[in-house]
Amino acid sequence: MDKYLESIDRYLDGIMTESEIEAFEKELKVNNELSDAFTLQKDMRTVFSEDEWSSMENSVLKTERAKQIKAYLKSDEVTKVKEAIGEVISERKKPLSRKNFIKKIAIAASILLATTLSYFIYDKNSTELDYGNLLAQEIENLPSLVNRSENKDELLISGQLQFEKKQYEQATQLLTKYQNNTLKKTKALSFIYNGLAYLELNDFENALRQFDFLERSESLQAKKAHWYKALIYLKQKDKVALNKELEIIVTNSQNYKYKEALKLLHRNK
Amino acid sequence: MLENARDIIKEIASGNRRIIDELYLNVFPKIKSYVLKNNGHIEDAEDVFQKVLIQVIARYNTKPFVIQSSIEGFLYIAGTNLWKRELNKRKKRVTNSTVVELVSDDDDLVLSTLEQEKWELFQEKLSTISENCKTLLKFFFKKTPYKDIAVHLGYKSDNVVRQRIFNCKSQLTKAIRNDIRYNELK
Repeated sequence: MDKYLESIDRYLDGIMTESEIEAFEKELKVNNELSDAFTLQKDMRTVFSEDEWSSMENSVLKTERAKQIKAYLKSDEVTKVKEAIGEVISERKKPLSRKNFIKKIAIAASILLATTLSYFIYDKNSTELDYGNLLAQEIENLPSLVNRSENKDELLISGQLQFEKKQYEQATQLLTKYQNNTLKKTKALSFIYNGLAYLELNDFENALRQFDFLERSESLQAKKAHWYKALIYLKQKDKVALNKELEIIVTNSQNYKYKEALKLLHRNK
Repeated sequence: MLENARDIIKEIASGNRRIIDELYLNVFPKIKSYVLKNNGHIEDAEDVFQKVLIQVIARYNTKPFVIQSSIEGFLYIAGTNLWKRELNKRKKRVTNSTVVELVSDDDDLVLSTLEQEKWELFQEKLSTISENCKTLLKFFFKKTPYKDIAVHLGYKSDNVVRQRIFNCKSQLTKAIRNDIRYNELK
């Protein structure tokens, strides 16, 4: 192979004469050994140049190894991992889009209005009022059920849409259907959406069931289950059960809604 | 905290969100910084982060391999390569220098995985040759003129440099070619 190295270098360095180039390229078409040596030298220059990338021909996709990788990429395991990564990213990502910004302003305005009105109607320390505030915050910060990196599920999309339109009955029907269809691969976020929808419908038993599912899931969202259960008891004005959930949350300052749980506990005493 | 790279890959493959979250906290900021510095956006960095995790589990699942460095370092390097690859693809599309055949997302991930393996093989072989050769080849692959290399490294003439580089390249070529993996990745 060394016998070709010099001519390959001269060709790649661009120092061949026109007739030499013509002869070299002609030989390249018919001489497999030269062609192999040429590919390797070209690849070496690309790989070690640091800012370029050596791409492979699509024909490599026909190899056994490529087929094995592709089969694995199509497996349920990879679908599950993609979903988990998508969930971690959306959990960690702060919503910055214009749509979210407008949504935030709208929610903030409605909370302000509700708070102002309630000042005249309710006691300032009303539990009912606090529940509305806390729930609005939850809904405001809910990550989307669908992210762009995964296959879109019609039931999930429609479920989220109905939830956003406050059509909670339709939302629970769609999300429950989605959960029944997906069984073990159910997105944990669907438990939150569905649970909150049931909560809005005052169907506390089903709401609790959803948050039990959430608690048992492997999801990052699982740690939030105690707070959602606390919201149920807050709405039901079940002080004993509420305090029980709040006490679990305040055992660790890293827990979701630690500060709010502390404040509520303090007020309940 | 899992410290063994193999265990971490297994946990990623099982969809363990806690491990993925830890990697997001430790690796994603570095990938993001690299992508943003190199004409990318945050969404590109997120794509790279996802692809690099899928790539590593796909490799491990189909042909187990050993990671010599830390898993974080490994994922960062593989991530920067994925971004280099993407930029290269975009450049080709813009300059239209070659016909870029469209492939499915899965096929593209297969290609990127095999290309990464080839890249690692080349780097591994470069590390087996002498320090002197490595230095000379570093200049050569950066397209530094022979004359400048001679001045910089104190060689008598550019002809001497040319000859030395030729020998070093022969050694490296042989090392790559003699590795069974090279033929599988051709």
